[in-house]
Amino acid sequence: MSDGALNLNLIFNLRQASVLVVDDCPFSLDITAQVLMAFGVRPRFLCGSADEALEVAAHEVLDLIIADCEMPGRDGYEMVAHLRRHGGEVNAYCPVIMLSSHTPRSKVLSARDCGANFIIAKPLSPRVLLQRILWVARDTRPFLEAPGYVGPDRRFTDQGPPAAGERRAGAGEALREAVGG
Amino acid sequence: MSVVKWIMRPPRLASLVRQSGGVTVGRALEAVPLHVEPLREQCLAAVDDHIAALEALVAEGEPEDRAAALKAVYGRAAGVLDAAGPFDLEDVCKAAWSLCELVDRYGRAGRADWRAVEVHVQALHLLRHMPAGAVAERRQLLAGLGELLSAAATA
Repeated sequence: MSDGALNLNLIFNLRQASVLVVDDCPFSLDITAQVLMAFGVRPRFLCGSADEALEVAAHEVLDLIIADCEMPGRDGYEMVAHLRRHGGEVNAYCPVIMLSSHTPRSKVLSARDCGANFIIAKPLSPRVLLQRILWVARDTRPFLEAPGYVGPDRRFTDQGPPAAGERRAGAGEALREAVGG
Repeated sequence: MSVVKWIMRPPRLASLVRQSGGVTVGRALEAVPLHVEPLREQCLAAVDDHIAALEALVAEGEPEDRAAALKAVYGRAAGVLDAAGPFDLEDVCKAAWSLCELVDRYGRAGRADWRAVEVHVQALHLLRHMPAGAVAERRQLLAGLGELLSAAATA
């Protein structure tokens, strides 16, 4: 397992991956889809709500879900928690990367506790998104099923999270540094 | 006694990424601007819409329902972050992030200074329309927002 740094010469192939993107904001959905297409992904399912995404997940096998955190009605956290509990033999274990416009600690904890693999702060950095996708593809953490939690083991014991230098401080940290406070 | 199960389930994604063919990381990242550029106009229009909506919100003055108003402000500021992100509006993103953070801190503190919200909205408008070369002015505006944020953290 590497330290998570991006090797520009690394070859990857996501063409066959069944990817679902869910975001209630149409142009955010478009931006994420276009970035994925630049990575050679053909996002099969673009959904405008968590309920729509869960409907797709009930009938299709998914390899990766990219979900907005904040959506009206059922939000991204509830969607992931539902998927982990009721997603069936395959999709319950599907890697999930969450996107958030503004990421205070409370949202990071919510993402962790709902069973997501990662949360990424916007503005969306293609580099960070690709790094996280490749990281979750190599994620060997076991899944944990407990009364209060279903999702990847929240302890990064074997491989560690992506290297701190590559973390881009989730934009939020960078912006925090820029404006101070 | 509660039962905890550990399940080893390597994602199918692990085998898919190793399939023959594909693209290098460098090539994939180079391709992003070409894919995103067609969305520029639409996204910049959305940025302007969100800023205009924020200006309308603060133009109404101190709100009666402060919680609802702050929620609306947060939503619009987050919308600016969503739309501006990929299009080199770094300073606008910084101001929008600062406004989100300010509202979040007010929410946790259970109190708010509406004037700080107004200043953020004015700064967003200025940063959106200020010439790119006005580096010192941009920096000064952002520093001012940082001071407001610090004050919100310590108040």
